[in-house]
Amino acid sequence: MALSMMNNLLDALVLGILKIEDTYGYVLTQQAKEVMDISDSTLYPVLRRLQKDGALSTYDAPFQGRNRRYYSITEQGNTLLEQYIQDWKSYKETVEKILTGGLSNDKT
Amino acid sequence: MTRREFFEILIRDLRNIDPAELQDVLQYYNEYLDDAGIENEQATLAELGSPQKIATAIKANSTIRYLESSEKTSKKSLKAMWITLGAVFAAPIALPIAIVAAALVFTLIIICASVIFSFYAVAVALGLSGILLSIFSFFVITLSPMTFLAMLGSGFILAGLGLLFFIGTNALAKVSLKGYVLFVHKTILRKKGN
Repeated sequence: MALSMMNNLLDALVLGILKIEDTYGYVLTQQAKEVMDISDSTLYPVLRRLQKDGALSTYDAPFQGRNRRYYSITEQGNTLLEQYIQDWKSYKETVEKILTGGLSNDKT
Repeated sequence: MTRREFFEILIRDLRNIDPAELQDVLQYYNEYLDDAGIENEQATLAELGSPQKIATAIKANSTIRYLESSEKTSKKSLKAMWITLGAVFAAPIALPIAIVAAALVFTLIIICASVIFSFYAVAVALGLSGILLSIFSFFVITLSPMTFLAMLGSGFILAGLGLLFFIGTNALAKVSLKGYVLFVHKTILRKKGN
């Protein structure tokens, strides 16, 4: 459960970053590292999986004589992100209730 | 660890995955190191961690995907099982029908062969009797020249008929053989080819 939560959070984070603008692996990793404690090699499997699931698409753009692979969110990815946002909201509320003791207070 | 060593280990550990997949991995990390900048290469390589670990994570991921996809195909194998079961239950009817059909075909072949054989026999009998009649006619040449001529004539006629029969039967046998070869080719060999 905790592991799947972490995976989903990582997926949601990647989709959220790409919702703002298309970007490439290095920048994506640096941005994700700002909010989560992940290694530089964590995102590749995540990106690959999302791409295979149809949530992301890629395109190559030339940069200084080489190619850079940009990732962009698809329609399907947007739907997935919406779902993650809903999940996150309800998760956040539940955790908040427990941590601030709201849940037990309501019951007594 | 140098960049070169990093990729060498990655390629070695991922040699069993799909080549297109490996290409994607190599491109990603090559780009990643380029984007990090040559001046940061050592730090970035350290940050990325061991290539063995990266390879293991990628292989684990494709295994999970494979297991997920095989779950979906298990429905298909269930369908195949029903078809097999249906075939087993249909066998008491289908098998005798197949045997009867094979027996019919075999009988037909035997009948054709027998007819051709009997035609040959008739041809040989006609020819032989014609020849014998012609030979024996010489025994009566002194007794009755008329009978001799009649016997010789009918002997030649019989031999001629026998020869005609032989030619006709030959043609019939050739046609039958061709038909048989065509039949075998169309039914048995075509099934094999498909």
